[in-house]
Amino acid sequence: MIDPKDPKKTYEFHYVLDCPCGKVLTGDTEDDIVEVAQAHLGAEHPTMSYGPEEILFMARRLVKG
Amino acid sequence: MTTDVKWPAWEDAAFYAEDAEEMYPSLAAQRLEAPVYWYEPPGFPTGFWVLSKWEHQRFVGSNPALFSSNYGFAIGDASDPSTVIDQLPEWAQIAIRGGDLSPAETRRMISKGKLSMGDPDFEGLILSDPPRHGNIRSVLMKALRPSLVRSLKPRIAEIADEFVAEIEPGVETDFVSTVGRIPAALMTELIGVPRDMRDEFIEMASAQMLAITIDPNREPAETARIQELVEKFHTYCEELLAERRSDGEGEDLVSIIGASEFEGAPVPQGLAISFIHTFVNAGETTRALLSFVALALAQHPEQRAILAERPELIGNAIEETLRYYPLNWSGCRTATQDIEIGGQQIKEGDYVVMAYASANRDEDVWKDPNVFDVTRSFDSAHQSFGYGEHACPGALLARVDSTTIFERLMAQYPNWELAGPVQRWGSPFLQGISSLPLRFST
Repeated sequence: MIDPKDPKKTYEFHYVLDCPCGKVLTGDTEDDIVEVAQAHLGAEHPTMSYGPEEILFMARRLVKG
Repeated sequence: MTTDVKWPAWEDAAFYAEDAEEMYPSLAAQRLEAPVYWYEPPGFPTGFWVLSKWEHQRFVGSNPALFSSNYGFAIGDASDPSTVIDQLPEWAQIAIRGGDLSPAETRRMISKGKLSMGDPDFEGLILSDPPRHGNIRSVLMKALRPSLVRSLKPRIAEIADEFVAEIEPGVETDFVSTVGRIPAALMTELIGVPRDMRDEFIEMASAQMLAITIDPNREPAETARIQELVEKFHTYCEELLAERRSDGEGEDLVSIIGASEFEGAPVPQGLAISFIHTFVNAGETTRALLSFVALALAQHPEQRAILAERPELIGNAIEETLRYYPLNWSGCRTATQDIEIGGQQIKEGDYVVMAYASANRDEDVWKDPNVFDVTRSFDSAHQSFGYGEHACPGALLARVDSTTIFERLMAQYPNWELAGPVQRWGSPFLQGISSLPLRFST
């Protein structure tokens, strides 16, 4: 059984990352969210650095509207 | 628009024990008619502002210079001191009885006293503002760093499998005391509590959670029981910290904190113990989160069926449960200057309550806010882990814990139903479930 209202529906996901500064970062693909997060870190938190694996682990894969 | 629905009694534990069908219309009525509302609870020395809209809460959460966390973090902190003073340590009682504290300073003394486990040097993340808050948080996040949480996923799955193996299909099982114990079991491992101490440790930690939820209606005998366990817990934490500091080479969370520095010196004991306390709370609150996920999926079998077919949506279902059944119904700040929000004039020193549970159903943010939908799109974030500097430091671990546990549970038991009445906590601070009888099937 899938969605009883729309059994053929496919869901589009995106990656969401909540920075502790309050900024919510999003990216459509893994590469996007890594790029967005690293750009944000570089601009707003230059003393912090996270590699792609850590960023992808922190990001949540959620349904996109 | 006006309605006949009674507005929330924000300070009253009984309100939080009502059925969701009673509570949410009450929140909605206030949110629509008075989104920034000055509420004067009976018996409280002064009122407080209740902010119901997501947008207003985001503003407060992202402006710590305008809204301080130094002067209380929960609604109960604004209680009449005479009704809660017996639940506080002696040094806090003396300070309050001195009578020269402002209302904000009194809230600080109540909140510090209840968190402190009796330790006058206690310093907590939750009662601090930038820049000190950032310094404290960076030490804590060394222990809860993403790489560590990531490395835990296989161990979480292993523990989950052990607990799931104990479920007997078709037989009534209390979810809270079975699967619900996984996060606390994991946390005692991470802290490095010896196996034979774990049950006692969890009992002491649960008492500390009750101590934080200060309650003007608590019976003296219950207060005494809690205080005794909390003192024991504090002594145990002190000994654990001293032991790990003298060993100097462990990899558990307490060893990491013990070996860390804060402002160029070893982390002070009062702060280090507050970190242990944070770890322990993470285990207890994740148990509550798991219980609400299981409850919501029992109440909505068609949603559970979607997850059984599409387990990649389990993470989304966790977020939806956090939105729909938040653990933390509110967060509080104190205005540092006069400021207008939503057309209301908030004065310097006023207590401001962000009603997270209401923002999570805000019609301006969420489509069909009262529908539980595991496929909901999260283009906005719910408020359940707070927002900004004070966002929950254990959120990543809670999400990994709960997603992994439900992946393992649903792989074996995709079906369950309620097998008896659900007992919820009734508390203005944290929500949880004390008993959730379920019947599982394959």
